[in-house]
Amino acid sequence: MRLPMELQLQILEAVDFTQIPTLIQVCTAWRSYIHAHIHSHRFLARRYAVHPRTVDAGTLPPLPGYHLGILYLTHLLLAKGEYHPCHIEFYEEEEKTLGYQPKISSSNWRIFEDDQCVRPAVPGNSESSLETRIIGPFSAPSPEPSFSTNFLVMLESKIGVPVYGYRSIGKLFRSIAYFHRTVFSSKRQDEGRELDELIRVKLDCRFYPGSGMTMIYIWFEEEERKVEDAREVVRLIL
Amino acid sequence: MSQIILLSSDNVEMKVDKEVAERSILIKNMLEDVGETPDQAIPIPNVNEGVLRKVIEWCEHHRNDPPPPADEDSDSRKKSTDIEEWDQKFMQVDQEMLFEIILAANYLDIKPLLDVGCKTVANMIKGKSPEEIRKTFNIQNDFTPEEEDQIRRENEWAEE
Repeated sequence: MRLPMELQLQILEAVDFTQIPTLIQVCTAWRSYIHAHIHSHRFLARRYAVHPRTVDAGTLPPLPGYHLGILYLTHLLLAKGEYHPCHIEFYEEEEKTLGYQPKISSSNWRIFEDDQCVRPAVPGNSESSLETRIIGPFSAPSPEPSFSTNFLVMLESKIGVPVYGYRSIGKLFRSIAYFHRTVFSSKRQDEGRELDELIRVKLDCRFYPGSGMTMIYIWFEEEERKVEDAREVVRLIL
Repeated sequence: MSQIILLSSDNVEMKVDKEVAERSILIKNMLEDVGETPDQAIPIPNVNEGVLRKVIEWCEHHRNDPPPPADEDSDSRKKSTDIEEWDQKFMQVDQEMLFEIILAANYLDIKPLLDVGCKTVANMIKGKSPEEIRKTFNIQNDFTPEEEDQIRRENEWAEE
């Protein structure tokens, strides 16, 4: 039995976002549909809500670390031009509390449990300057980090894609990165080979470890250089 | 409570509470057009007895549900994981029947049932390879080998 294309596409609407890399390999119709709708439909249905709080550089953690999963995004961003350091802030708030006053708890690395993080030797200088370390509850380095979390995690980027789940944080970040990459590819097709737009990526990463809620705000900022040959960009990304 | 008779594609009559049958927007509109409860059976030409019974079972269980949100993009309609326990059990049927239910829900215009069906299939294909998905949907791979190779390479980084 075969479902009509209309219903197949309706099923695609319900599929987890992380499946997109697989789904676009199924057939040309699915691929076209996903590419055509990825910007305008559910993936952009939720807009990033800008946090009203002004970022105060003086209160930022002294040496922000990078979660390894973030590197999936930096792979993309680095390929597109100059990479500015990101800021990472932790806030804690009571669940469903309205009008909360967020507070920074910079030492709250336990949120990652034994998932792997990297800390920049020179913050945000370049990917190669990042050194890897394990962030664990008791600083017990694990040779094989589990890359898993028991927290419900919600990731949302400025350009709209929310990703939820109990999956590893790295995988969630990767989903976001895939989305950015897809948007980027389409823009590239729209605009020919020359790229000169300013890209700002803001990630809103929320953890729900039970009754309370911890949010991590991560800012990436990247100013894109002009790239004459799109093939070069693709090569860099891959 | 008034009842109506539905006639399946294989000519089996089924008595159903009007309220239950009206979970189908198609039937609801039909009854509104007629203006009164018809004495004759309403033919449902695209749905056979087995599938119609399943659909009626679902409608019976959900007879008191509020109407679905008008917003087509509502998150509650899109999230694939939030299928009620009863619906999950209801959908534990073979793939043929699952697709039949989806087709029937689409034809009868029962959006919540269609959503549950689509979400079930969406969850079913999670983790499958493109080839396995093609088999599930009976889809032909229409990529050229070159295109296929290129797409695979494009997406290697996103895979495990």
